[in-house]
Amino acid sequence: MENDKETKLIQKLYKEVIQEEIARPDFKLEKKAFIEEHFSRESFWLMRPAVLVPALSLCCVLFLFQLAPMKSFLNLPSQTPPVVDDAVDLSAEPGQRHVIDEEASVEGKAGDEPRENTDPDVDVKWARSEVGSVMVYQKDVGDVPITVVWVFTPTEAPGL
Amino acid sequence: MKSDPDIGLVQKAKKGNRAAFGELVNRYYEMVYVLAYGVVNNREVARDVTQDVFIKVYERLHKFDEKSKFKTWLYRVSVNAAIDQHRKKKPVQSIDVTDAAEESDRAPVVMTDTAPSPRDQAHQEELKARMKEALSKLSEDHRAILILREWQGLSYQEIAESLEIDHGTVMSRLFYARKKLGEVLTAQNMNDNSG
Repeated sequence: MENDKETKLIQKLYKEVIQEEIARPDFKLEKKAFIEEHFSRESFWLMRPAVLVPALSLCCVLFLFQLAPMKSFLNLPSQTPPVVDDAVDLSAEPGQRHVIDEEASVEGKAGDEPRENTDPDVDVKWARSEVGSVMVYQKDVGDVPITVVWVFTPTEAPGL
Repeated sequence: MKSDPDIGLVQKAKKGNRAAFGELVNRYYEMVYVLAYGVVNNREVARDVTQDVFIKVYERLHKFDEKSKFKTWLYRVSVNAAIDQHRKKKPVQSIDVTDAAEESDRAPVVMTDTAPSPRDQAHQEELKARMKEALSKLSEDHRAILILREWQGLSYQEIAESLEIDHGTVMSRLFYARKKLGEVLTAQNMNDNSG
């Protein structure tokens, strides 16, 4: 009888000791953190860091390649004679609003339709400047800001 | 063998479904931790063993042949991992009985004056502290068998399968584990009384 009592006491104590161990508040946190870290819900395979990071890097590279034609176009005016049209309106007085050719007035659009004056297809019929005969603007493409200068010189334009 | 309630998750996990294995971890984390703690008797080491066990089990899940229950296999892996870890970190500190001693016939141990009083919380805490100390003086094998039997409530047969030992060894090891625990607790008590 004494032995039974003793055995039961030992069993009881033993269970209490173990129970205390897993009843700790931080025990559940450890468990949760472990599962989340190693065996959480399966994320979409594209969203895993091992896939996502290289994919985003590739996208960035492709994006920069997409910008390359625009960059070369924006550099064009400094390397080649300006596009000049016989219909340039230089009669505007300072402060007077003029409508400028869409390609020149909107930077983004200028890049969408690159034009070179060596291209026989380019045929600018009409352009006006709202800021005078010289228009300067700057565009950040990649790391190097590009300065674009448009010079409207009707007197020097061939055919005038 | 009865059908294994974990087999569906195991098969999904074998196909690489980590979330399915996460569910198994959720089911058995406490069990593995308690086994590890019962053997190594140290909180941090038990946590490390537990987490290592699950990571290794996931990596080696293809080796699980499904002839036994997943839970039984997990018991075996966990106990072995805990024993290995404990032996690696703390060479030999136990004063446990050897196999030869297990064969000896000792007089039953009588514990005296250890009954916890519900009114005396301090005394209860002291008893628990003694229990922890007594457990630390058992061998890993005895702590493992105690935890499987006393905490997990496994049958002798299940313990035999989990530890890959025969039925008779389970009985004798369990008997001497309990006996040794009683002896250590009694000795502690006598020391306290004499001091």
